Amino acid sequence: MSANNENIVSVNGLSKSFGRHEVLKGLNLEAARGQVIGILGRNGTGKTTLFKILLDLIAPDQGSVRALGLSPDGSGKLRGLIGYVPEKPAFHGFMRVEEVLDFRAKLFPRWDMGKALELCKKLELDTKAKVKDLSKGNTAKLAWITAVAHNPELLLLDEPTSGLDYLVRDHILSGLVNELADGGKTIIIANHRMGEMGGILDKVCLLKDGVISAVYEAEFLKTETFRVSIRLENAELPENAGVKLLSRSGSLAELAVFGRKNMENLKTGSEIQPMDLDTAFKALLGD
Amino acid sequence: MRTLIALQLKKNLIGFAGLAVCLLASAPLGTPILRHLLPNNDGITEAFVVLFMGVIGLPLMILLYSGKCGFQSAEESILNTEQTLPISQYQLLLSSLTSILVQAAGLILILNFLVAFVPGPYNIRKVAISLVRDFPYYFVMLQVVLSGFAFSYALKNGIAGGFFGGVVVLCAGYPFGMMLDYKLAYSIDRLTPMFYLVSIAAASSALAAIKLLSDVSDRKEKKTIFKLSLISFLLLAPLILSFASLTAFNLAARSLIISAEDYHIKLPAAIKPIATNLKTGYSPVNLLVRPYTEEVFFIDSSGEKNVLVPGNNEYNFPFRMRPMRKYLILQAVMNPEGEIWLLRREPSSRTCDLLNGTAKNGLKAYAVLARGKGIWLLGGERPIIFTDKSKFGLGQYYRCQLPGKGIVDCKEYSIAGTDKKAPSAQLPG
Repeated sequence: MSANNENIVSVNGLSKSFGRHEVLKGLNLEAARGQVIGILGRNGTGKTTLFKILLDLIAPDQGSVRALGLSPDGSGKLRGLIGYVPEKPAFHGFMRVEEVLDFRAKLFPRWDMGKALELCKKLELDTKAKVKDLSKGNTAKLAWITAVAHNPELLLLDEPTSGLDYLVRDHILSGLVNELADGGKTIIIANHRMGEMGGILDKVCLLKDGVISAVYEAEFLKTETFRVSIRLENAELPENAGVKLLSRSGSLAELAVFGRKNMENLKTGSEIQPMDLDTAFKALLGD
Repeated sequence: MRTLIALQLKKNLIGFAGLAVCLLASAPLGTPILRHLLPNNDGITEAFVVLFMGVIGLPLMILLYSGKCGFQSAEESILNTEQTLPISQYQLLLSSLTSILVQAAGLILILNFLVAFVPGPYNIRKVAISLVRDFPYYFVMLQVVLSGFAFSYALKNGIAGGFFGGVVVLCAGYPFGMMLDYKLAYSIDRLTPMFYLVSIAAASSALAAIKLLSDVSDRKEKKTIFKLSLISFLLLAPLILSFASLTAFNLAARSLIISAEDYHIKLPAAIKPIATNLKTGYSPVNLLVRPYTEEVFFIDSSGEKNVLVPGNNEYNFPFRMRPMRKYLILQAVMNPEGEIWLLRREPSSRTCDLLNGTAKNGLKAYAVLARGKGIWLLGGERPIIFTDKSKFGLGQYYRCQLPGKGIVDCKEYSIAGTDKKAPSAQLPG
């Protein structure tokens, strides 16, 4: 068993190209036990590639990767220890839900069938239903169940709520909270709607240009981000990494300000409001 | 692994069932349809249809089926479904391959059942039975599965993969078949293990190619020129191995010397008592043949080599595809003075050549004989030719004594020993 403060995930200098397209360019990332980390990045920035490397589905070109004390070696062993919810979950259409669970029980070393069936009941997923007949929401529920039923120490969630209605999304999020409540799980989430995860995140990593360009503590994002309306003289935007333009109309600008220090640098007379997480993440993404 | 194989079998159950039904129905349905389409062809029987299925139909079915499975293994939807399981991508491919081999074995079993029980002429049934129970058939089927799967997986296209896989198997199968010809023709037994080694090596190379393809295709490892070249080499390895082993057989065959007795049909016991005393006069010569060059010679009592038919040293480098078997009959008798009578028949000829001469001065054509069912040149006071004139070898023979410059007396013999004189003129045909 790993020590409590030991990094569950350690990525150093990770690079990956597909042909001439460089997706990851020396990415570094660390996740300690029990941490919940959000990976924020635009489409095509390499979030899924990063997850696939952590899952030992893709070989990195350069760099080192350690997860749960193991390095990816092509054997698939890591995938037995990691819970993964892909962006587009897929199961064998000819199987029923219960057959999917039985099949996975034979392959995952720590599979807990009791937990799986309990989750099916809780999420109102019919175990007799055929996979090919499942709706998108029910498929997402099944993906969630198969990801957590083997009690993994590390969860990788790739857009887990994408395209789901509010009710299903709530089910997934409450399931996530329950898993956290069990304690000790490290969770890495890639989600466009990072705002809905804000309550459980410890930190947010901004994935940009193939690297983690910035890391923000969640507490910082909750308490030290502000929406500032300001009149800009001579049409100049204050040059500052912690200040991002949200909108502009003539000399009137709306800014997202990160950090009280940056707030102090702005001219007085601006209108200041606390910024919600969604807007904060949108501002970070839009940079 | 068993769980994965069971999954693959379940995935492809309908496809396999369809193939099995087609195979089972091929004889009862195919025969009347063919007879209707080709009404004047009496050769079309259930046995013929099944033989056709064994030689062409089943290998083609398995080739396309393995191609479809290979393509399926590379499909994005399957990758998304199965790659997140805690097993290596290579294990997934192996499980798919294993399931195809199991299903192919099932189809071959069905074929074995059919060849044993379908009605039809005995000779066709015999050929069909020996085909599906012979080692080379299983080697070919194994390569069909591996090559079809590997190429389809590599090209991500079932039809193209099946086509290229089929081409490799055909091109590899031909020299492999020729190896068998060599082994049968010349009894090169010491090279027999090569068949099994080639089969194992060819199968291993296909599996290694699939592993490298998985690394490059599924795990997105860097596609270096070395890796791609190695994959190509391994995919073509069955071809290379097959030709390499045929070359080995060629090299072994070049030094091979066999006795011409291998070319004889044994002298029937019934006419042995009728044969003249061989102690005096012309005695049989222990002819030796170097089949690769078709040289015919014998070793005399002083140990010297006497060449009767010089060898032909011209052949295609680096090997001959087919082993040469120049003669079907090769017999000689010689008297103490060194006069030789040589009887030989070439495969393409319907007649036998009788030659006369000495080793020192060479042999000249003496007569052309129409062959009977068997023909034997025996020695004695004078050389004698026995030919079997009966259709079923029931013991009626012609005996012709030599020499008599082209015309000799021929007597007709039966087992009972009653002599009937045949018209004397030409040697009987």
